[in-house]
Amino acid sequence: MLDSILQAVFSGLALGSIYALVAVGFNITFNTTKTLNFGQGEFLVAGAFVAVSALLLLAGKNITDSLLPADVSLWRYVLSLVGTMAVLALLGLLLYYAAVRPFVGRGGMAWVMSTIGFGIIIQNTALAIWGPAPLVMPSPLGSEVLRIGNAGVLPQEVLVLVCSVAVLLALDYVMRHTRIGKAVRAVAQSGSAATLMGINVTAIVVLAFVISSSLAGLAGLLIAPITTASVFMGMTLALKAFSSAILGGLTSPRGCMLGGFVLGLIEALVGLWQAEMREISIFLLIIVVLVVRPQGLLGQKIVEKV
Amino acid sequence: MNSEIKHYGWLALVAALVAAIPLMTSNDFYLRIVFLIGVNYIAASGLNVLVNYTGQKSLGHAGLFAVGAYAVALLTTRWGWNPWAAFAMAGVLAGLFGVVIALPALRVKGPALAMVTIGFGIVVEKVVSEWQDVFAGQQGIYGVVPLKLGDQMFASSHWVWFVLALCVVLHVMFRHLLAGRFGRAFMAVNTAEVAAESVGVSVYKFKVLAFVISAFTCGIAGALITQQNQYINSDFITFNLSVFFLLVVLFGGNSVYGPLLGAVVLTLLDSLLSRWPGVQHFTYGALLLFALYAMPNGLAGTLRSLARKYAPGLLPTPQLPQDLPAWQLKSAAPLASTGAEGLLDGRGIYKAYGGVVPTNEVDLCIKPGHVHSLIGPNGAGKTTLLNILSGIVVPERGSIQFAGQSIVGVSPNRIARMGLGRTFQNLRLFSDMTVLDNVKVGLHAHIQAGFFASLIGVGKARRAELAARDEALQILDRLQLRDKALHTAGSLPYGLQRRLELARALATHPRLLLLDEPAAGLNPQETQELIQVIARIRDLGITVLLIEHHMDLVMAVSDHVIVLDYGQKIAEGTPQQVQSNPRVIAAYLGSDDETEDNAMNGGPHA
Amino acid sequence: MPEQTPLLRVEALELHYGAVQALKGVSLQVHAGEVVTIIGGNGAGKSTLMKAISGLEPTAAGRIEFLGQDITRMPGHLRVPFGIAQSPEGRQVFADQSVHDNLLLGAYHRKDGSAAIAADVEQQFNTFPRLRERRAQMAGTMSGGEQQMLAIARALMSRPKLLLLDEPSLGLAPLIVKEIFAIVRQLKAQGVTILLVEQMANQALAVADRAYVLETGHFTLQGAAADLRRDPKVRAAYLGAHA
Repeated sequence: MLDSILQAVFSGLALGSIYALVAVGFNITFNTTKTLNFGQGEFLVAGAFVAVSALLLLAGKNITDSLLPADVSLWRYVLSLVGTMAVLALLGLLLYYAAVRPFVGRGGMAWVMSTIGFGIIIQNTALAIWGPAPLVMPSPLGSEVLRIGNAGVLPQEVLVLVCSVAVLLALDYVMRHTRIGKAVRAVAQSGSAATLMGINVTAIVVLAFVISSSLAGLAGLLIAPITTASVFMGMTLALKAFSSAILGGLTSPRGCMLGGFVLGLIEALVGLWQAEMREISIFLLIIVVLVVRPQGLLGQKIVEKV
Repeated sequence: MNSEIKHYGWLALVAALVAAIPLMTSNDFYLRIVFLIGVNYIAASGLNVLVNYTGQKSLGHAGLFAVGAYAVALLTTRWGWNPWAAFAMAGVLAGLFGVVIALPALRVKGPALAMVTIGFGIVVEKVVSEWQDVFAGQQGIYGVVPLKLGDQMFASSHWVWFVLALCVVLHVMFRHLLAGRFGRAFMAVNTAEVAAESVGVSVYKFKVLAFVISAFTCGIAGALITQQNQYINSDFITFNLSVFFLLVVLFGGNSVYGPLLGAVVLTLLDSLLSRWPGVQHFTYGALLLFALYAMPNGLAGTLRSLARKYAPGLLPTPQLPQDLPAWQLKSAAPLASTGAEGLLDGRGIYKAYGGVVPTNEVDLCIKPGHVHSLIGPNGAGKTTLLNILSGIVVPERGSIQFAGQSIVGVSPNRIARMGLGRTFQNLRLFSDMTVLDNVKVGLHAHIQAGFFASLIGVGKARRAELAARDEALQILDRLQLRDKALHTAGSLPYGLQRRLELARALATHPRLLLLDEPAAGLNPQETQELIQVIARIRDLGITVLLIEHHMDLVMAVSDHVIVLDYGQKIAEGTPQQVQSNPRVIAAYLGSDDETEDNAMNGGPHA
Repeated sequence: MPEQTPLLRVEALELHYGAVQALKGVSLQVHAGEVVTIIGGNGAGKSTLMKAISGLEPTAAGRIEFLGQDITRMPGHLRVPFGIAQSPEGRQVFADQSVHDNLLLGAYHRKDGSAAIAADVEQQFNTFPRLRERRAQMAGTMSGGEQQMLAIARALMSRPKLLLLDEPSLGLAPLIVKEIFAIVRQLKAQGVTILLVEQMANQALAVADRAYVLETGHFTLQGAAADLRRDPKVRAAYLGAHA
């Protein structure tokens, strides 16, 4: 009994770290522009598929072939990671200019729908290229189960957790201690005050979208070996990541990270108890949070000036 | 009158043509397409009210479609209900679920609202696919009993006629509803919530109503599809369906005819592309982006702009009555308790925000029939006080009695209906609506037309509408805005926009009118005119409290002046008394060692 | 005295906010080493003018010249390295960052290395010892007066040729306002060129060399500060003409 709980905790944390990555991406763009990419799920999927294609190409195969465990060496995995993040960064740039910038400040939430539209286009382009079949990405660390006590843990889960935590810590450090991080936070506080410091707000905003999209791509690549990744998994994952952001506080980067881990844990533990209730419980929880404490655990209440 | 007859004429013609289709062809494929256009129109007609008129973008209406669909399936298969009763019940149940989705959705704004609606849709999707016992998931529910005439089940042609009848009825009802006070209220809530509350429109109530209406029509659409197919399964309920509904509404655009245009174009597109589902969804994404870029008001809006430019004769211009009598303020009900007390009596009003205290134990007494001014340097807390009086901000301590009743903690729209009107420092007009409609929204609480009466649109509701129109014109006339009645509010020059806000506030039949910097941005001539207007308002029997920085205006028009500084009242009295009060002078110009010495020596220095 | 090129020259500037014309043809000059003040009541357009000079708001007509160059179309963030810095209306300190980080952000555009920037931070702490005490404190938790000092110090961190001060007295208690104006005097003694916008006419006129009076988008009076101090028209502009 304890073993299955331990196992659930571990996979919950691993999955939660993915939610945390995507949630932080939401936080960065929301803080700087009051918008976020509602098609982020599709970006995650694109990340997984681009990574698989990169690996296939590195193994000398066609992008529509299947990957074998032997094809995925650690070295190639790292290369495909770099490639994926680069492609997704470009996608983020495109997203900003095509679906966000024209609608920022216009009011009326047009950007919600335009980013959804953009996401739909990405999804169907992926469908056209790779087809509806689920994606197979063997883990570079193999599929032999590790034993922690009596609990079984996949090496990929460990990799996911380690990678995500490393990236999150790095982001936290950059935001708090580097010149560029402080500039991003300044833009988030007040675009006009930031301009008065000589900060190019547009450049910072573009950077925010590039980072956010790269994070989604990284998340997709990390998660592909341990879930059945298909072209259709995007929306649910993005919604859970958004839920994490709401739980932890959309305006707080650390809140988003915390929210991700907490949500992952809740999901895994509820799933242990009653499998079908897993996802329903998450969304019900979020509705409760929005009603009871809309700013989340670590977020700040926004006071509107009349 | 003429345009009404023209409209019904066209409606009859189109309906007749559509009704003729099943007589001309028995091809099931074409009949089904017509049926689907009708169903999509029905769903979109209600969603149009929510998304376009009230501005709440919902991405979860597949969930409400599911409520209607499964209600009809379960009621007829499990509990043997009569198919007609089940059909009606499906709509009612969906409407109830509309309340369920509205409650959390309205506690949040912006992306979180979209999130709640998406979440709702996903929860419903999961429930119907995972709860196999009740909903039979992907397998689905067979043998749903369709609508029947006597013992005979509807054939394809019957479905077309039935749906056509529903479409016509819904169209007529929505047309009446949206042209009257409900339509205006929905748009007001969309454009400027705070302003809507200030004229007595309950924002919350109208948002919930919009959700319920949209839920009802989507539920009916779900019921229709299910009964026609005699089958439903969880594959129907997807996020893509919610996106599709939203797309129909956005693409069709902001008008009563929007859902029609959207339903026709998108259903045809849908059928055309049904062989290639990948392309189908791709097209939706692309269309969504296209609609947002190029047609922010949808196809209906684009056609309307084109018509305005190239064929203005096609657009109906309403005829407005001339020679109406001058406007008299209808006397409000006698006050609950008067006498020595004021119309508004505030004691010890206190409000703090973190470390800032904009309102620090302020006492206020507003005597009926006088013009009071509230002055003080920037940051003194004047607007906060006005916001407290109108109910937008709740004070932490203190009591406020208006016309004998306490108004602390009362919602702004209730306070407005008690007779407290206001204007805003930063103009909050319903800028996309006409000047006349803006004033009609001001009359909202005084138009005797309930929801169901407004749907039918004749009799009492119609008379009330016409009376409102006449009164609005009278008010505009008083403020010399009559000739601009049909102009869009946002197109007026700034000075006239300010006057329009005043007209709208007068339309609420206020006992007390709060004006927040009415002269801001006006040139000297306009400021002079404003002085006249305020005097005339007082002559109508309305008490006025205004915040102003223009001292000439304040001195010329006020009977009584109250001075605030750092959230506290530092002086009050006649304009002359206040003008030469050294404390007031110091508050405005800053202390001067010279002035301070004089004050200490007790000599007032002019 | 020969006419030197003014540091800042604004000519016939017009600006619209939606339907309102906030600036209706405003012209002014600031010479190096001067303290010039613009006074006026609320809603006169003072902050709008400051935003226009810093490039935060686009203008409809007219010209802004700095160091002899036309900067009317220059993007706001490029005006800072060019030599214009502002302590904005309401101070707008970065509330979630420390005093020290706020100062470092003031030096964001500088390329002369962290040692020079650190030296300037020390210099600002010498001018504002209260800030040194609170160097690690979150800027949002400080009092209004302390935030105002921070906003000024932050602006000075960019080594500007022209310092714009937008209503430094706003919302501050009278004693603190006195402190702030003492600081302005100190900066003037150090030779900083200042354009000061204020509602508190008396204090502003006491510290400035020249003044302009702004009423609903255009200047109605201008001249030497000492002259305007004695002019009854100034008081009328605020409190209305006497009965």
